Parts: sequence; structure tokens; C-alpha cells
Amino acid sequence: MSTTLPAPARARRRPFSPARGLVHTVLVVVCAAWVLPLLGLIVYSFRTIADSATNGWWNALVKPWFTMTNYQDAWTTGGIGRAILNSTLVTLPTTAITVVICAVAAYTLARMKFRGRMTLLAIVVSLLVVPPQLTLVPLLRLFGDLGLTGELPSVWLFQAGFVIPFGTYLLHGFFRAFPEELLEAAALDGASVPRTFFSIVLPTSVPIMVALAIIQFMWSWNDLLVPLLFLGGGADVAPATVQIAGLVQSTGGGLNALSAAALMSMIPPVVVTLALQRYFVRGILGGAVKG
Amino acid sequence: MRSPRSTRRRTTTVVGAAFAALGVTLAGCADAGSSASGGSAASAPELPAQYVDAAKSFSESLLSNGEKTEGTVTVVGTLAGTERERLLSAFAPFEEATGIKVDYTGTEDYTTVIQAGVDSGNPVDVMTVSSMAMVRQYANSGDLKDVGSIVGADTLEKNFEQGLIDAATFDDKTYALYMSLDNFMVWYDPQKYDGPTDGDWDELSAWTEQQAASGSAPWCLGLSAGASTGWPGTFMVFNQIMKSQGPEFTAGLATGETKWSDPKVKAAFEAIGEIVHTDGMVYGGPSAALSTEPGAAGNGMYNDQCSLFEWGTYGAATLMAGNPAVKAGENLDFMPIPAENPDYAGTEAYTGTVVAAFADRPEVQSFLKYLASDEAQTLIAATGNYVAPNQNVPAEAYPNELLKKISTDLLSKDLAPLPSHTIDTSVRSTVYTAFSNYVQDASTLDAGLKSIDDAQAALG
Amino acid sequence: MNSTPLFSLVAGVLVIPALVLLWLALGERLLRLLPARAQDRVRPWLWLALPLLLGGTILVYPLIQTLLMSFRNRSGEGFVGLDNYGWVLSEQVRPVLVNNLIWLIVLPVLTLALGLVIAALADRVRYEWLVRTVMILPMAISFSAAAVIWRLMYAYQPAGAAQTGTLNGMLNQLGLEPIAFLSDPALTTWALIAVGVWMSTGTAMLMLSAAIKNVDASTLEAARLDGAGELRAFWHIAVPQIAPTIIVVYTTQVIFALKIFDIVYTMTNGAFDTNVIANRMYAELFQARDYGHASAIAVVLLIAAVPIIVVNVRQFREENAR
Repeated sequence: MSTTLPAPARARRRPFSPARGLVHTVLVVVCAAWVLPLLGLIVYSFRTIADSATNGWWNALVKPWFTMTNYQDAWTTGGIGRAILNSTLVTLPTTAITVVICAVAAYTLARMKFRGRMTLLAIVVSLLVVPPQLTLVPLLRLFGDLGLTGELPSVWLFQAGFVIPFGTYLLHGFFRAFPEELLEAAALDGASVPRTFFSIVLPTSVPIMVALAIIQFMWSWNDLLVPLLFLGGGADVAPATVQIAGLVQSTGGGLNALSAAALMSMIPPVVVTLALQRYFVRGILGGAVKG
Repeated sequence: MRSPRSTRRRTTTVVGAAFAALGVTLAGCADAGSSASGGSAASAPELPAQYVDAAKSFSESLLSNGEKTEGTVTVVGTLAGTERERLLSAFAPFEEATGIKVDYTGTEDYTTVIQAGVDSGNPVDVMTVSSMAMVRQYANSGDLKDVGSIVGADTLEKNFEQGLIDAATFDDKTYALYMSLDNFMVWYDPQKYDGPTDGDWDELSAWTEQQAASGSAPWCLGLSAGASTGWPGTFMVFNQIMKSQGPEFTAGLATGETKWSDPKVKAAFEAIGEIVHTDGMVYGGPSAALSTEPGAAGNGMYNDQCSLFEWGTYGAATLMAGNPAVKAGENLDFMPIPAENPDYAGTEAYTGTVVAAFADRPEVQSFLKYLASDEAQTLIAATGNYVAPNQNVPAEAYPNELLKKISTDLLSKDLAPLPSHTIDTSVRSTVYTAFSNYVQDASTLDAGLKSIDDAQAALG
Repeated sequence: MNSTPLFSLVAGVLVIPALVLLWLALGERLLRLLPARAQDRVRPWLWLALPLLLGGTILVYPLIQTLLMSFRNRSGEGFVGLDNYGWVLSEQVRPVLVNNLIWLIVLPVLTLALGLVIAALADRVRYEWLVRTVMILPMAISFSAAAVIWRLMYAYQPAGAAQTGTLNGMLNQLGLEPIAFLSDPALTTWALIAVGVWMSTGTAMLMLSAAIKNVDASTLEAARLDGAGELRAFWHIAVPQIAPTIIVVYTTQVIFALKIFDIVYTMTNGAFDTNVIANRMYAELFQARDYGHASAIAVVLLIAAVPIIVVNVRQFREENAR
């Protein structure tokens, strides 16, 4: 095979090569394609309904004419500030609960030997298929009986519970790949099972845990139906998705205020994604094996 | 080990700090947000003080011993954005005077939210929806309270036309009251439009054909509306059925007596289909109509794209909100949809928002009494979005001449409900889809009508 | 006035996870009282107790109800045997199944391939964090807004008029006729799948990226020293190591495609031959209010997933045997 791709960046800085140029080109093109739709929304959010009905959003870049009214509307009418706080109240606990529960479950299924393990794993995979819409009514009824309806924990438990199969399944694959030697070494050193889990397995699995946290954060942040049904749509409980969907004019006016609200509500998830990226560090595992 | 502990700890601190900063910022935001929604939001209209005061004193009269009470009434409805703000501004005097909080959720998915609540045994207190079929359904299942006895038969009769009371009466009990009325009409810009306005279908058709032939599209049409794509055109078909076949035939659609595959129904679809499918009749043709939102399509009247636009009562407020150049009465006027059959020239098809209650706690009762009152309905009129169904509302309550004209015009006609109001919501969304498919491809009409009949039959 | 929200935030983020750990700590302490062999037998169930309780409540309980309801009539009262399943296979529903099949075949392959390529390439550049953020951006957008974004992308105006849609604007610049992406039945499902790829490639990339980070660097280095090119080293050394994650990604994407709902619901609600199973189920559930039909559809979804479940179980067995 004659094509050579550049080695990982952290290894060493290399002189320019055609292959390297290709890598950059592919990445830039794909990123541009991914950002383009969003750029349309950003520009759209600064235009009036009448303008955006007349010509394409890129015209605003050629002949700039911007308005802030959509953001004012989103802030006052949409109450998006409070909504973002409400979203945070839903999302952060959900994410924390998910990561803890899934890590525990996945570790057990991946690393402990017991009867019924295969059956449980098969059940985990099949539960991935359960459509969320069908679980709503039985659980609304159950939470109603428990007096949880309208309370934040009902949404935390629902969202975390619903993601258990996915999270467990994802982490399981990772914990399985964990080098046996390391665990045996720990056992020989007399480390207990919980100790091995917390001091050896978890620290080396940070990237995948972060991936799970980011994914669950996004899902929870953008869940519409569950908060709407379990918390209602009042301004003091409704998360951003509910308020944003509430800006869709039922009779078909413009969607400009909605776009402004949606963009504001994107800020926290993007900040979280950026902040958590630090944990995507190479070679912890390889280094540990060698060291 | 390559990563020293201290680095890890530092990153943790950084992320922790970021979250803390986020929390503080959000807490700040929350204050700003809630204080804004606590008072009247910037975009909500200032309602005339005398009407607000009247509504407050009426609300006070609802208190049993003159003292403010507590409690919350949860409401699920359809309105969003500025339309919701306008509605909430009409509830505000009630909340202020009684201390009862009205917790309004406006969502496109209102059928889901209401149905899920009923199924799980925790229904909302009050629904304000555009579908009388939902009232009928939940009345039959025994979930609704008797609004008639809560508000009082005398009050209902004094405030509402008998037809509107009968429409909400099933098995001798009145399960809902009308909060607002709206109907479809033909909007135009009187500064540019020079076609016929005297309500003759043939004349209007002749004029539109002539326009189309001369190369300028007469009709604006926007059908794109997410999950409800197709609804504005469907409403055109419904009005066509009403004004060609009359109220009795039309009412049969809700009960299953009239089949959707009936040639007369099909003819109404084809009448609208001819407008959509004839070259040059609709701005941009079928594909553009399917990918344009109704509000944007109506704006075409001000871009020389098209001159006539069939849309609802709320069109005045929505078009003005979307384009500052639009002024009611100056460059925005309307005519009733011309009747194809002159026998039905005096008939007007209405839809409206109906209020029904799943609970009858004292605060819910007070809220229902408030909504039925002359005072509250005067405020609804003053918000400028709808016609108030209460017949004691003074005409000067409407914020502009246009809406005043709409209300006098509507209330002077023989009212009959538009099928969208009376057919089951599952049938309704099947009609939207079938109509959209028909616009896209005329040959799908028969299959589409059959799918609607199937949806109706599935209800048993 | 913000003390309550802050209180719930702290309670949710710290207290519940802390309780989980406390449960484990207490349980482990009690376990020590048992003989060693019994410890190993009991420990898994101690660790699994809370996940099982939560998952059982949120997923298994409604699933059992669904299974029972699928043999009952619309109100859930009368027993109707297999009628609901007959209905799922009837002509009313069949076109919907075909559409879902297209999603099922196309979407997972596209997202997996794109995700793998981007994750592998981004691993080699300094702006990897930026690439990753950009790919995840679509997940940060609420569905109502994503629908607006894609209506802006696909908007159609007649030839000759000013185009308002991004793609048709581009076609216009190239001198081509505009295309009705969202109403031409031949195109619309593909246009919606493109939205799906845009929304879910980020997840795939994120998982694969995390896996690539844990590839044993020494094995790659060894291959390089043996003179293997980067592409070959990646394919023969890295890919086998991340194979479990690749299966995880493919499985989740298949299931995402199987359950695809929001995109179709918000963009077309099934018009123009785009309807899918979950959208039909939603309509049966909350509009037609037919629990029998909706439940039968859900069970069919479950059956449709059997092949992918089998593949996974086989994989688990192999790993176990190793």
C-alpha cells in the first residue's frame, strides 16, 4: 500500500505532505458541510419575517440588514432565559445519574462472572429498541401514583432509566476491551473489586465516560415530550425545548423568534462539549500497561 | 504514567468553575426572564384600562368572601409565541384579582399532552382547543365536567348564541364554552387589488383565470407547517364543501354519514386542486406552496407575487406582526369566501377555541365563569386576534376597524362549524396528509380520500 | 428565589449518585461477612440491583404492558387475538415498513463510515477538538429548530424567482433548475435521511473517537517499524482493536433508524411517501387512540431488531470464550 497517512499529531510535527493536505481538505470540507445549515439559522435569526420570505439568508451577508427583534421576542415572549435554567435543572442531574448507574452496570456485566450474564446482556440490547412514546402513559400513571408527577426527579429517573441500555451497552464494550493483565495485577496486589473499579478501571475509561456524558447531556437537553408530559409547560418548569416548540406559531407566522431562542439554548451544550473535550486524551491505557 | 495527578485536578477545577459560572449566569438570566413574564411582556398589547378594570372587578365578584384564594389552574392549549402572550394578557386581570394562577401550556402536541394526561389518570384542569371533536370524545368517555352547570344555564344563554351552546351540548349537558371564534376569508391589499369583491364565486374565478393567463399569479398559498403541513389548503377545501353543499351535508363528515369519497366531497377537493394545479394560478406552483409557510406566503401580497390569500381571522394580527409595512384597513382588507352555491351565500363556516374542564375544583370553576363573562370576552376581543363569541361584547372593543368588520360580518351570518372543528383529530391529520399528497400529485386523490375514510372507520 | 432550583440541582447532581455509591459501599461491607465464594456469587446482584430497579421500572414494566396490549382492542379491554398483527401487515401499513427498511439500510452505513473516517482523520490534527465540536453541534439543537434549519436548506421557490433555500440557491448559481426536495416523493425520504446523517454522525464519531484514543500506541508503533503505511497500520492494527466499539456504533445506529420519528414527524408527518413505523405508532397512540395497534407496531419493531440482537449476543459469547 503506497498511500501514507500522517501519524497522530502529538507524535511529532512533520513537514507538509500531499497526504496531510488531503486529511485537512477532507476535514475542512466535512466541517463546512456540517456548519452550513447552522449558519443559515444564525443569519435567519437576525432577519425579519418579511425579509426572509423574500430572498435567501445569504443575501443578508451581501447586503447586511440585521435586526435584534427576534432575540428580544425570544427573551421576553419565549422566556428563554428561565427556560435554559430549567433545562439545566433537568439535564445535569440526569447526566450524572446516567453515568454512575451505567458505569456500575456495565462493569458488572463486563467483568464479573455469574449465571444469567448472557441473558442480561441480550436483554440490554433488546431494550435499546423500546420506543420512548410507548413508555410514556404507563409511567405517567406510575409516577402519578407515586406522587412524582410534576417533580423534577420524575424526569431525571425517566431519562436516566431510558438510557441505561445504551449507556451500559456502550461502556460494556469498553470495559471488555480492558487488558486482563492489569486487573489480575490489581487482584494479586490484594485490591478489592470496588477498589479496582474506582482506581484502575474508571480513570482509564475517561474518554468513553465523557462520550456517554456528552451524548446523554445532548439527549436530555433536547428532549421535548418527556418534560412536557411530566412537568407541564408552565414558565417556571418548562425547559428550553418546550419553550422553543412553543414559539412555533400554530397559525403559521414566522419562525424567526424560534431560531433566536434555539441558538441561545445551544450555548450551554456547546460550552459543556468544549469543556469536556479535555478528557479525550490519548494513550492513558497504553502508557499504563507499559509503565 | 504520563498524566500527573495535578494536571487532572486542574482540569477538573476548570470544568467545575465553568459549570459554576454557568449556574450563576443562568440564575441571573432566570431573574430577568421571570420578571419579564411576570409583568406584561413587551410584545403583548396594552389592553385598554377600562376593560382590564372591569375584568378585575368581575373576577373579585367570583371570590366567595372577598378574600384572595390560592391555587393553580393548569391549562393546555394550542397558542404559542405572540398569540399566546395576547391570550395570557386577557387572563392576567383574573390572576391578579383572585390570586389564582393560570398555568398555560401552549403546544402543537396538545392532543398528545391531553390524551396522555387522561390515559394516565392525571388530566389537565382545562383544555382550550380548536377541536369540538375532542370535547365530544372526552364527554362521551365521561372525563369532562358539565361546564353548563358550573357557569349556569342562564349565563350561557344570556352571553352566547343558542347555536354555539348546542354545538357543545351532548346528551343534554353542555361540556364546553367558546372562548374565541375565527373563520377563513380572502385577504387582499386594497391598494393593489382591483378584482371583484362582491362575493360571487364565478366572477372571482373568471378574474383569477384572466390574471393567471396574463402571467401574474392571483393566489398566494403556503402549506408548509411541519406535522400539520397542508392545513391551510385543507381549510380552503372545507370552506368549499360548506359553501357548495351546505351545513347539513358538511356535518355528516364528522359522524361518518358523509363519506370522504363522496363525489361531492371529491368535487370540492378538485375545485381547490384546480387552483393549485393550474399553471400560473398559485404563486410558485404546487412545489413552492408546499415548502412555504402560510405567513410567508401571505407576505407575497406585498412583494407583487400574488394578490389573494385565503387565511383565518388571526391573519390580520399575524401579517402585521411579520411585516411592519402592513396596516389594517390601509393595505390589508378581506372579503368573505364567495359561495359556489348562492343558497349558501349567507352561511359562514366557523372554527373556534373551546374551553372544557376535566376538573371542577373551586378555582377551576371561577376560571370557567371568568372566561364566559362579558368582561373577559371583551378583553379577548381587545387582543385583536379573534372574534369574541360572547354577543354582549361591544364592537368598539376590537382594536381596529378590520377586526370590528370581521366580527360584525361573522356574527351576522348563519354559523355552521367547519369540519376541521368537528372531525376527529386523527381523521383531521389524515386529511392534511392526503391533501398535501394531492397537491404534490393529483393522481393520489382517490387513494387519499380512501385513507381518510379508513381513518374514520377505524374509530368505530 | 433561586434557592429552590439550585437546591434541586445540587440534590440531583450530587445526592443521587452519592446514594448509589453509598449503596455499593454498604453492600460491600456486608459482603465481607460472607465466605469468599458466596461473595462472588452475591456481588453481581448487589452491583446490578439499582440499575435493574431503574431500568426495570422505566423500560421493562411498560414493555410488558405493551406486549399484553398488543392482543387487545383499541381501548385495551377486549381480547382480539392476532388481529392487531394482521393489521400491521395489511396494505395500510406496508408502505411504511418499506420506508423504514430504506432508513435501516442506508443510515447506519453512512453514519458509521463517515464517523469512522472523521474520527480517524481528526485524531491526526491539532484542531481535533474543533472538528469534534462541529460534528456534535447538530445534537445541541432542539428538534423544532432542526426542522427550521432543514426547511431553510431545502426551501423551494419556482425557477426564476429568488431562491430562499440554501441548496436551491446553490443550484441556481450553477445555472440548474430548483428541486422540490421536501415534496417530491422520489426524493423526500432521501432528503430526510440526510438530516438523520447530519444529526447522528456526531454520536458515532464521538464513540469511535473515544475508542481510537485507547488503541494501544505500542502496537501501532510496532507496525510502523515493520514498514506498514499509516492506512495499513490503521486498518490492520487499530480497527480490530476498536471492533467492539464499531459493533456498538452500528447497533445503535440501526436501532436509531428503526425508531426514527422526530425527523419525519416534524418535516412531513409522513406525507409524500415518507411515513415510518414510529410515526405511525405515534399517530395510533395519541391521535387514533388505538392502543392495540400501537402496541402491535412496537412489538414488530422489537422483532425486527432480533437479527442485530443475535449478532451482538454472538459477539458477547466470542469475547467470553477468549
